[in-house]
Amino acid sequence: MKYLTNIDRRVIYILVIVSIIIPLVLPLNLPIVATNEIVDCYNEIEKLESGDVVLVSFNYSIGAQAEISPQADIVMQHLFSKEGIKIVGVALRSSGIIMMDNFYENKGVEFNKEYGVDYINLGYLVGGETAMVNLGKDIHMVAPKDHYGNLITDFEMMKNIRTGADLSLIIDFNSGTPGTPEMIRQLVDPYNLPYVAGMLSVSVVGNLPYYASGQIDGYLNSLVGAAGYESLLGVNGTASAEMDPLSSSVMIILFLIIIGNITYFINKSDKSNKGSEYK
Amino acid sequence: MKSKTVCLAITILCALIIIIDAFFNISIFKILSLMLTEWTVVMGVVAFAAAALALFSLHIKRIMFKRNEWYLSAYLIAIFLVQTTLGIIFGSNSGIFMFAINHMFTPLGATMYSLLALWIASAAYRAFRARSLDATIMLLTAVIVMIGSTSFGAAISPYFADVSRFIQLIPTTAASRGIMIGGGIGAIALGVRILLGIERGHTSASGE
Repeated sequence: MKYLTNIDRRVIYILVIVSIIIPLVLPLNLPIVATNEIVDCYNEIEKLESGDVVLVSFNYSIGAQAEISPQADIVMQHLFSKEGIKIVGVALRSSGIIMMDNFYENKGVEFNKEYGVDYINLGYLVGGETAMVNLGKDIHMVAPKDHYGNLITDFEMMKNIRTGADLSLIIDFNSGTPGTPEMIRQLVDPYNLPYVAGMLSVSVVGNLPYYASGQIDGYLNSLVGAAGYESLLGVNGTASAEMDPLSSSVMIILFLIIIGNITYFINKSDKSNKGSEYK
Repeated sequence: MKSKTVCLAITILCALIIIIDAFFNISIFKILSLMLTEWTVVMGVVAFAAAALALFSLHIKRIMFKRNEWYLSAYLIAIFLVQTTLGIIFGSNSGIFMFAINHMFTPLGATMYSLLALWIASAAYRAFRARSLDATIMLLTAVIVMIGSTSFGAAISPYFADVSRFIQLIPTTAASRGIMIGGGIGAIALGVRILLGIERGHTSASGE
């Protein structure tokens, strides 16, 4: 019992690592549920029509890619599968550009989309929230060239996309600042745009008021959101495969918390019994 | 005119231009506001460069005076110089520049973030004890939300997700909203103080 009160942290680490490895090797195939906010996110993209312009913003760090890259992967797959959508990609964080390159190059080829006609990569826009302000006011001013150094005026799709008012939807993958509050302040509310966000689980609580008020039309919560989105598309992707290890590691942590509390109460009653003996 | 007064005057003028542009549709203020936001971006980049130089200077001093673990500073300086040189010569999009980003920085960053899972497990085991009524309520809420957000919750009962969602959307959102409103009021108060010249921390170093 004394050991259970103070389990060596190395044992805890081993338990967590084993709980992650086992479901990867022997999948548990637990059910994946798409909750309301995931369905809302899906519907916002599903109802896009030919000619609609979507701004996709990659604002997450390297460390967050385990949680957010699966979201970006499945959402971009959904977006690129729709016909006639114009996708404008930006990174408002320097690390975002690293993620963007992979998605745009791969998805463009996979779905037979033409660069400059169906999608464009405007690269990293310096300034964070200030860049968002300028993006809304004049996209051509803030990004006169695309990520590859070409003038954006040379691309037919950019001729009619000049300000925030020309956008139909904003999709933002973020892991901090600039993030959801900044996007809502500078683009979503001023131009009254639909907005869906992919975020870390730690960011969700702080952004729930925006979802409750309707300023966020849908959001994806970490890997759970990505797995739910994959279930809506009928895809068995990375996030679905990672849900089993995630679930089992959470259960191990809960088990340890319960063990810790049981031993705490047993020790507490032992101490009070010993105390009453000496009285 | 003292430099502090000039700094204050510039601050107030710039803030007024941005505020007037936000609330009124006057073309001259739109042009000035756009110009100011462009300058902000330039200043941000310069600040970034200044931060890099400050970091460089700090670690050079550590190497020169052979401070504790100075070899780590030497390693940092070496990587800094190599990547900067590669970026300047070949461009930040080039394969050679991105090699270190994709094969060193990315895996290391992901690893550091992944270690959090182990630390959180250990911290949760030690800290999540029902020592009081408040702690017990927090613990039960955390357990329900954690189970509800995993596939086990869906496997046990569909109501777990509903209860978890209720907890997040009602009491948690209410608390977050309160904190957000408080923060917003604080930001407005700070903005008014800067506009009125009461807040002067940005105009000079401490002690002046």
